[in-house]
Amino acid sequence: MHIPDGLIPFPQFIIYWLFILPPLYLSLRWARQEMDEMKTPLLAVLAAGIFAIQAINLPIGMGTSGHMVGAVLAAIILGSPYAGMLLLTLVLVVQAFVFYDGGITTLGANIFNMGLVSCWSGYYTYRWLEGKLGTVSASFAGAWLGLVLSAITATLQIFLAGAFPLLEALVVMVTFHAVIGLIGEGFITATVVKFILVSRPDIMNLEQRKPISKKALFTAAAVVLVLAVAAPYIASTNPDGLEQAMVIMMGEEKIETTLGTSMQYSPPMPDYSIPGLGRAGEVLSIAAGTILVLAAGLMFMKFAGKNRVVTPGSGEDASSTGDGNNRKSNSSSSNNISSSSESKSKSKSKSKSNTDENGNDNIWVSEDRDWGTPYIIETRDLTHIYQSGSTKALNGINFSVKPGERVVLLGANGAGKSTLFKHLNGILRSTSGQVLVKGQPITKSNINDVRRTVGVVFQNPDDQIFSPTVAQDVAFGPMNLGLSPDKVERRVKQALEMVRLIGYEDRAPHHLSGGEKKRVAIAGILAMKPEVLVLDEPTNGLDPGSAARLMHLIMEMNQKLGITMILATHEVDLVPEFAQRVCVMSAGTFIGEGTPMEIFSRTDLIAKTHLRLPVVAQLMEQLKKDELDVALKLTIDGARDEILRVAGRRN
Amino acid sequence: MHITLYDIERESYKESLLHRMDGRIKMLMTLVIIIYVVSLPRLDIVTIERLGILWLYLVALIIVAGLNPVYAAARIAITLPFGLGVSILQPFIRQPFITEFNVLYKLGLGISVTAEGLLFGSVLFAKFMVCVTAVVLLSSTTQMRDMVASARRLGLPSELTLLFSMMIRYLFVFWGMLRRIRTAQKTRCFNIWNKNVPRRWILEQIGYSISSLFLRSYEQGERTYYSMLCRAYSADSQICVVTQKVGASDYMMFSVTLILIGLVQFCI
Repeated sequence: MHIPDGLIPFPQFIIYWLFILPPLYLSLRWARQEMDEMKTPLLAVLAAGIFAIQAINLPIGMGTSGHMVGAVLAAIILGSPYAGMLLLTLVLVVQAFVFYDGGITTLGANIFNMGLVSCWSGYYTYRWLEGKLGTVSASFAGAWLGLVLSAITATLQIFLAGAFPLLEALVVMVTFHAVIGLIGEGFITATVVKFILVSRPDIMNLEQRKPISKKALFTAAAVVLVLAVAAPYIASTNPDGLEQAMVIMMGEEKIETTLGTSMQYSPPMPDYSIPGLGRAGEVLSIAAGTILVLAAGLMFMKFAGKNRVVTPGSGEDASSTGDGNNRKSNSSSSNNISSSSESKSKSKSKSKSNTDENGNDNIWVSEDRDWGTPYIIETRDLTHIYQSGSTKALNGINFSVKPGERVVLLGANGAGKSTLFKHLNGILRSTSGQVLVKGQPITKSNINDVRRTVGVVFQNPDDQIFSPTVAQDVAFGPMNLGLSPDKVERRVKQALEMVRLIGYEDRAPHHLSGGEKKRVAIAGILAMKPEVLVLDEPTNGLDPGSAARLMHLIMEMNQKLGITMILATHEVDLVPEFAQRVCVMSAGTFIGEGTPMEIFSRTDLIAKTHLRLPVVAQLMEQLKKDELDVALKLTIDGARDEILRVAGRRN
Repeated sequence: MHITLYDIERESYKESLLHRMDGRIKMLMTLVIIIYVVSLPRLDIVTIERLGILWLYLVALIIVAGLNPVYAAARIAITLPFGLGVSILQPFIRQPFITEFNVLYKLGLGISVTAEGLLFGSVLFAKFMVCVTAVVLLSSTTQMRDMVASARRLGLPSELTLLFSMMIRYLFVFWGMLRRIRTAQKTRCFNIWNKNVPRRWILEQIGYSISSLFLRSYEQGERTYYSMLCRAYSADSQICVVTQKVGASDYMMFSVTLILIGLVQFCI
């Protein structure tokens, strides 16, 4: 939440605007000169990214959350406070005009505290500490201090506007921001910097940075301090609305108000003055207050730097051993969805935990199938209407899958396949109708079990993979299930083995090929030991070799482990080899269902869905037209046998 | 109710007298209203009456524009908490710029409600309310790219215009990206309040997703930049060209607003 319009009176907001315009001009000039002349588009795109990042809420504790500002982060990574200032200005303007987060007249004040004060103080703190603490810790400190100073500035601004007494407001604002700054600004900034150093060190380009002189550093610090203190003060002598400010300037001290009492306006400073020094005393008292808070902040940071984890690898295990017991007990009970009778759930959890303890991956899908229905997944009249549109993305879908089955959903782009998939593990909630997993409707209480049972691999692996290393990414799911560290490790190894990616554990996902990324994404789901694997366009964008290898893997998982496979595709050539059953979707409904042979014999159906016959089938059709007496075959082997038969070389 | 970028976009694509208005006029109108509101004295009961009339005028415009009332109310409600919080505290605070206070009620513990504080709080709230409503009206009746184009024609430097228009273009890309990343995380049971895993690990995961979003936006920026170069982009390139003309109805709306402000200022 930034300062809204109306809080800061007229003369003051103009002063803030005047103060931010020169640095803003310099930022633009910097963008032009330093960044390859016209690399400014990059900044705009990055600003959009930071805007999205600001929408992510971070858990702080006791149900509260905060979010990061990102200005110091941008300054550190792009190597100049100008970058942070420019990016944040873009973000704040869009926030003000589109979302009204922060006012329009107060934009100057908001850019002043978050762009100017925060970026310069944060960036130069980072540069100052870089040599002493290392890049990552220094960025933590810089970002944190930037946020706290920005909070102090904002408090001063609100105080000078007359809305709050200074000391009380400072205590509240500084404490609050010092705490959320540890996580929102400090921790996240350090994490991102670490991440960038690993995957794209060329962006930060640390070697090429010019050293900054101490003189420049102190000058910058002095300028920031003077600005933060002096600017609002100048404007605060006539604090009220334009009309009354002018009256006061013309020398009338008292103003009649409609309350019937006379009221005396006075600049807000005198209460906090050092006696006997006049105006200088007021300024000094504010400066002293600022420095005190700063010192307290630095002390806090030193303390925090010792205990909080800032540098990679330090104190990582300390936090994880404590919860060990808690997590173990939780993991064993997290496997059942249907717990209709106590004894049953007991026996099931036993068999599950045996699997886990021994690391035996042969038992994958539980033998217990007493769900009251033969289907592992079932949808009943499932209908979905997206909020934004009025058309039905799904319209009365009845889709059921038996355990161990291989089903293909065939349909053109926009037929509703991806929407259906998001229902199968409860990501979307249906407008009407039901989804049953193992005979149970999806509810809030079993949602995690449903997501463990039904693993969905999305089309674009980049959406799924976000960790700095392959192993960490695959561990993401098992960690969420609350498994102990050694179990997680075993699951990761198992999953990577299955997708043939052993040896890739420490690679950055960033450097993988498309096919490898896809396999990492599948491993990430496999590590949760799903009983159903849902794959959305798995071969999309892969070269034929990688696609074939991937399909082979999927078949293997189905046959060896008994994982139920549901696959969406519009690559018809894949279907005959893979599918036991095909469902054809068009405009949110099922328009056909059957074996691949049944489906591909119905030419009307194929034409309707903007698909085509598999090439083998096309060949057979062609041969038929050439009056050769062949039956329709879909697979290469089948076609070969049929042609050899007709040629008289086989029976 | 949860309002996203998509909701705002949907409303801004509607058709009405206000949606058709020239973007420049709408922006100027909003600025005039906001600046007038901010310039009003904050310890004057008349201010509340003036703001009340302006607010009713804006609500009428929202109705004329055919905006979804639930949407408009939700947007105002979402933006208000900070302003509301500041206003509600005022009666209990001794504002540093007022020297004499008339105590209305004593609540004990040294807390009391003052007439000046109450008035100041109410005026602040009224100011927030009018400003929020004005911006909700502007952003729901003007498409974002029109706002940028209008700002350009009002004199925003071309470099900033370029930055804003590109930012808006990619806002939706990253918004969607963020949504997909979150869906993929939900699929693997990620929940920030999950008590089974160490909090620090959760934070790290959020850190990683932010990092990858950051990196992806950076790389998107690079790709976009190179593709722009391929199409002969240079620092002097003009990106947006809009040639909407200010029509009679635009002048009329603007004058109505100005006249209303004049009436409010001098007749009350």
